[in-house]
Amino acid sequence: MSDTTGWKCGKCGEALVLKRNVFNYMGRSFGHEVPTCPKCGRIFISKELAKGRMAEVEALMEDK
Amino acid sequence: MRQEECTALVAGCIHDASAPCSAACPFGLDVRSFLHKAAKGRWSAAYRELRTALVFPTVAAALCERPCRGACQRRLIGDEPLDLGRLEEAVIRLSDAQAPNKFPVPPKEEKIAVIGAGPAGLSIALNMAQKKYPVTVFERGDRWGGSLNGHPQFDVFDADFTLQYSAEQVEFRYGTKVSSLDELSDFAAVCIATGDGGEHFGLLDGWDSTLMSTAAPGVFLVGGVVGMGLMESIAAGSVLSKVVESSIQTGRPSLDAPKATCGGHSLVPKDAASAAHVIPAGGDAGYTKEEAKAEAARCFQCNCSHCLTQCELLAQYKKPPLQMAMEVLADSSPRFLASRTMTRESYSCNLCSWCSATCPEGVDMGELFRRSREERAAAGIQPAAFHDFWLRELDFASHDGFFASAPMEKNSCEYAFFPGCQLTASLPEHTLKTMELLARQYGAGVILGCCGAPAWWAGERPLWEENVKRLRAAWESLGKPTLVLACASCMEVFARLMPDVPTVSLYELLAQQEDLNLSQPFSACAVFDPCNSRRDDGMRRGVRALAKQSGMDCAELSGPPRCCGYGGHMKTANPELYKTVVHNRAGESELPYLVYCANCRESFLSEGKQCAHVLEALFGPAGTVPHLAQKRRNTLKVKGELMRAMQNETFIPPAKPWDGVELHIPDGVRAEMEEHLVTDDDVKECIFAAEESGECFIREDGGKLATLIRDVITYWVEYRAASKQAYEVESVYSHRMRFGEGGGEHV
Repeated sequence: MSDTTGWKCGKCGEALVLKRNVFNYMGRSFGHEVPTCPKCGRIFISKELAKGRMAEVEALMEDK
Repeated sequence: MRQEECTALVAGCIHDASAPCSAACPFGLDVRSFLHKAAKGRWSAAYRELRTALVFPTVAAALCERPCRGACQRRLIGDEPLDLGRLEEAVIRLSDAQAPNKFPVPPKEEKIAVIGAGPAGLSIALNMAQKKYPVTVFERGDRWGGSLNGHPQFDVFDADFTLQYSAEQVEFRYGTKVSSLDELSDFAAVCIATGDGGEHFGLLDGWDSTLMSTAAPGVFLVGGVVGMGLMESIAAGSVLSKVVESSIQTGRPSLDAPKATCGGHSLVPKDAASAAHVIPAGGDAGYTKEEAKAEAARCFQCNCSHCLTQCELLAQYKKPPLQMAMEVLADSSPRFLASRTMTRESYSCNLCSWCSATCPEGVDMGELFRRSREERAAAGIQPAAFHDFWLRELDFASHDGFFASAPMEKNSCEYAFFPGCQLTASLPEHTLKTMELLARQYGAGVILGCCGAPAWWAGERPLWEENVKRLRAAWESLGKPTLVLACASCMEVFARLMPDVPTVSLYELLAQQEDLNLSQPFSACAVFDPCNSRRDDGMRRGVRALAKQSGMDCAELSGPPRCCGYGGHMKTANPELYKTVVHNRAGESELPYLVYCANCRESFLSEGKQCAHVLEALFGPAGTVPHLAQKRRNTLKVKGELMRAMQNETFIPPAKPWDGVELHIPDGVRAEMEEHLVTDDDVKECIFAAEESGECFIREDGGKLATLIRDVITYWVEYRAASKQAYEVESVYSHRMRFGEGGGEHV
């Protein structure tokens, strides 16, 4: 989990909470907890997550 | 793709085909495997290899004339062939586990009769017994051996027969002459091996030399009776045992197709060094262990692996062509993802056809991968992220950047310049100056756009078909001129997809000009031919003629042209392999490169390799490679200039709502954007949407994080306002996964 301290939803002004979300890629879906606006559900993907775990799973799928 | 189509694409591959020595061996001995084991001192394993093929290894070791030696690849570099005779003798002597294998095969009921206990009869009888058929051998004499009886070494052969038969039960009826085949009516198969001049029961007519079958069902002729030599007779026993078994099991004798051979191609490794034939110090005592190992180690283990070692993609995945083809076949099926194994491999190919140009049989792995991409795209199972950027660039070049015109106040032209999207984007001034020259010398018109290579490479058939339609309409509207192509990839795509459109290489045309004032980007250079230039001699000759005119000292690189790395858009599918390919190509000569493809120029300059486009010799230096946003601006600029020059019209680029957004992009962020193929337009659109809707995340210090979800890629931009409508971009990243609500596996 990346540090989202200090980030708020720009639309709702809410602090973010961890929430399980589903990610899809190449016909497979994966569940993962990511910071999310509790009001509007907007998902926050940090650079660390995108370039880290997400990129790893993307590569795994592409290596199939 | 059907299996036949898939295998047909690699049909000529001779990897793992029989080595020339094995193909020459009457027994088809796997000489490579035998020598590999012997070189390692694995005497018993080498012995088993011999015995399996030779049936009676001692007989073959003593009496085979060894046609294998004539086929040995060592001879091609002036060496003595491998000394198979001494090696076989040594292996038989040194092996300490010579007891025959006891084959765990269920016993059969069908009885087999063999007439004659000579070499052929003994071989077929032993082979059938090993398959656990009850075998009876009828021999009119009182001992086995046939024509070998009376040989000075008969005692040794006799011992070998005894040894090989020691694990099987075979009934030998000596002193029994078979006068009529009717006597053997209760046998499922009869193998007649009566030797040279022996009884053939009137079955010679109609004898099938491959299956050894006769006009009488279930009756076979083998050995000297049908003119076979000694070694051939013994070897034929092994083959016949397979035919007889197929005849019993299916009622029809048959035989699997023989293993492919190397077709006479040289298999001498590139780094082959001469090695002297090992002569045994002990003379007739034969090789010592060390001598045998040293002699066996002289084997090249020759196997065609040219593409597997020389092509970076095939070297990375280490899969021979036939295996690749089978995996591609499984891969192209729109089944569950788990059944696919080849996604990255298929999309890591440059499609440069270098493999085909260097393969002894011309196998083109690129066409296999391209077809695979097309099948996957048609089935909707392509990894869209690999080609998304390039397909969007194709769309831009084919719409916003598209322009076709005859010269001012003309409706048609004999020539039209088609610079291609990459030259226009990377070297706009050179494109315009070339256009000026062609207009002046040839009254040329122009078509600006993309040949469709990104769609061709991605296997997106509907997209390239649409592009062909667009280009064809433009070409026809200009009176079907000859297209002057600046890019070898365009040349390849036109030749494949629009073969009726006449084309000529820009460089071939320029080389015909006598008054060109060429400069020398370098005093000495090496010409780097783009991979697709191999189709067009005129293009290659033209570039060399231009270089000569400039007075540059031009060296040649060795071998057929290879891809700089750009081809097939492998960069997104396999960034590491892309770096390796560019690095390797850049290192092929220490000299700077003279190139004539905008993509080669970009690949090499990005690698830090000195290089110049041949148009830079004509019109001066072009500077560094523009970034993605500059390339788009260049395309529009060229279009605007040509519209003004050729149609006296002002081009107003299509406006985007985010055009007013101004970006300040630090070098580090710019580099990341370039690497991950994120354009300024993507960033502007992302910020614009967030500022308009307020849908973003806000940091305590005022920084913002906005998302742009496109069809294939999701982009994130971290930024802060610098002033009204101007933004400092702090970070840009992207991912390919989509997100939403719901369950899913936990990761």
